[in-house]
Amino acid sequence: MIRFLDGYSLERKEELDERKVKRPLVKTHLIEVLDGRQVRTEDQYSDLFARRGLALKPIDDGLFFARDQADAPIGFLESLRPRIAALYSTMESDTLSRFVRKLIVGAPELDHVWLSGVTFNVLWNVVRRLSAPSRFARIVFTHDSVFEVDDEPEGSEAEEEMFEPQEETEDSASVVERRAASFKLVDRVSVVGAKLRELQKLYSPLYAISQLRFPSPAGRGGHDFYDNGKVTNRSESFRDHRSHVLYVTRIYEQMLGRTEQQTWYSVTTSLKTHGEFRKIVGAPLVVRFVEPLNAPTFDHWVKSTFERTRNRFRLWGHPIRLGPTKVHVYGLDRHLWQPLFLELTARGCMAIIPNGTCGNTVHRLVTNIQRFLDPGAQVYLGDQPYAKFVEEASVGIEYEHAE
Amino acid sequence: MSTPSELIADPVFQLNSLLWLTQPLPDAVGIRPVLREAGFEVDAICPSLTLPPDILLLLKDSGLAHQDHIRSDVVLCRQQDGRYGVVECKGNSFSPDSSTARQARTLLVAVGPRLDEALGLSSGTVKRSTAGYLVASQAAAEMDLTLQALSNELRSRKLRAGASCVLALEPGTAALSLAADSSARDLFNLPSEKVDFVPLEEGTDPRPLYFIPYDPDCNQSEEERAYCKRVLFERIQASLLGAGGRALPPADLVFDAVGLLNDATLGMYDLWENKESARHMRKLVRQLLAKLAEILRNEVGDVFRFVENKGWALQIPSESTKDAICNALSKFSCQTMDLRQEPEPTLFDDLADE
Repeated sequence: MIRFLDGYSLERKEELDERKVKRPLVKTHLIEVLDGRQVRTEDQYSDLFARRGLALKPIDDGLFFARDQADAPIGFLESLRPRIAALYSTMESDTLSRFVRKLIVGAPELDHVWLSGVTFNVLWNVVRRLSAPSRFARIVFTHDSVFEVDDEPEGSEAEEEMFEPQEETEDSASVVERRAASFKLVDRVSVVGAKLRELQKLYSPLYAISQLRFPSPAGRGGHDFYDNGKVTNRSESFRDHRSHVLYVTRIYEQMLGRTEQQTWYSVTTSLKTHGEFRKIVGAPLVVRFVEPLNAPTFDHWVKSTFERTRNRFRLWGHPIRLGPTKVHVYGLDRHLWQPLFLELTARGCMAIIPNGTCGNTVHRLVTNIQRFLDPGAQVYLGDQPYAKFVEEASVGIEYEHAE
Repeated sequence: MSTPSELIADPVFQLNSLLWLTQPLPDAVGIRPVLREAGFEVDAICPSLTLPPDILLLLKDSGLAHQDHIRSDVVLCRQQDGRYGVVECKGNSFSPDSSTARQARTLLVAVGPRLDEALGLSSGTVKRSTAGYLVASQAAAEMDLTLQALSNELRSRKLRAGASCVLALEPGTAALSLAADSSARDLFNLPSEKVDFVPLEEGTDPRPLYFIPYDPDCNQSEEERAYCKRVLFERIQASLLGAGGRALPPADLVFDAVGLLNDATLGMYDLWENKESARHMRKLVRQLLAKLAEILRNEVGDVFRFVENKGWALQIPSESTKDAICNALSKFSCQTMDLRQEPEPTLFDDLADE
């Protein structure tokens, strides 16, 4: 696989340099496999994906050919880590994204890998350390205050299109007045490194990083990481691409473990002389908005999240209204079908994550809040900043340069 | 919606507020965890306290009305210097002649010099201890008098009563405060007589998310009892819906009231020793499950029913049935039920309790 994709990547890079790309670039989609630690054998892995329409045929240890239900080739799937798989493909980008979205949307045992703006901000520091100052950084910022105005027609269920922004044509563009920022910054690592923090303080949508390029040490180009776990190889080396994917995957896996260790609420039992004693352990997820939402925006957020089955946040529950801008929800993460208790207010959100609920719920929530509500939101796990957990997760992770 | 003045007298609100006061939280997010700031954490929720036999004998010989064995609401501790506060949440104060005073006498004796034994801790772990009563501010003065009277009564019979204190919830114009008498301030290291811990906003209920949604043994207003029942039902419904959503068809899932109650109460159901209360809780679950079975029967078919010797069985033969079940369960809200109505006896009660 590596030899084939390496050669393929080199050809595409040459075409990219000539600005005549004849075939799609290599893309990777990182997929979290829930209960991945229990899926140990190749047969179990194949069964899990077969249920969702992806047929796997083992070709090496932890590596599979992947085909769709019509037996058309999709690419290769590699079990990178117990909880995370990578689907490598040379399919056309939109077609592959649609396929992966469909694969995951109905599968509570699978999820995207969610890289929030906070996570990308920490990864950006890694990029600065890894790359020569003269290399070019590429960062995309995406923030869309979709809840600021209720412009979606009744019954609209646009959630599934959220990660693939539609091209706006002059004829189709509707007149919508709300804050929306989506732009790309390309400049030398040294320049971005010197300016980004200051710019973020001046304009908060710059905290909402939705794509980040790791420049390739193997040559020109690099690896574009998206917030939903998609990674595009714009370098000439697939080996280098895989190294970067592995590196971020290891950080993400650490993040999941640390998030769960910190936040999982449970009543633990300890045995003492006079029997069982129970105490509450865990810490809430706390999100503080930089600027409070106004009442109509708050209402729109609550309604469009809990009155629509396919909502952006993929949550279920019946909000208990406790004030004009305060609700409690004893609900579920509707993708993973795991419980989640939420307090939503104009000033932020607080979540109790019961023991067993996957850490991905936290990362998806933070990603969506930065993208749709407040790009500069401050996030904490208990009394510790979420960014600190991400930073700690990246410490000691080995980065392997491709040969 | 209860007013802040009504809410502070609700024991479930008090218990959950107390738990939040010990949670790790960043600055200025709504709740200020003043007890955590002072270094306290929850050592035990609803722990069983049994007096050492020699002390129990003294108490029995004293002729004072008491309980042999009690459960307190929360034990708070600061491990660095061995401080322990055994806290009871009370909707109201009580008189020394009331039945609640029986429990209080045992608690006051338990928090004396032998608390480490009563808590099953190694000798010397507890350096300082207090029995704390958390009440609404309007009940604080009377509560203090009762505790003094009970302590004097115990000492007059040669029993070594431990220290006691009163913590009170008090609504101000801009915030709910935790008010503490001098003993409470001393033990819990509180910075002043009153510490604001949650801001109040006009028209907004200040209650936090509930860790423990329901307590069948406490006195609540009808409104608060209905609220707690709603939270309990929402959590049970989420548990059921989650299990359905995660199922891989074909699947047969079985639920029982005990498992669902433990899911919904973070495992606290197992600690309710009052058999009538536990039975009442199981009846509540059956009230909800019977309603959900009816909804599913109407919208999907006969997929959810009670099976003798098994429990409540949910049959999910196919992906399409699973989708239909999840849709029907998602749409249902327990608000369509009369939550103030007590569950009526059903044919399943005896079978399900066996």
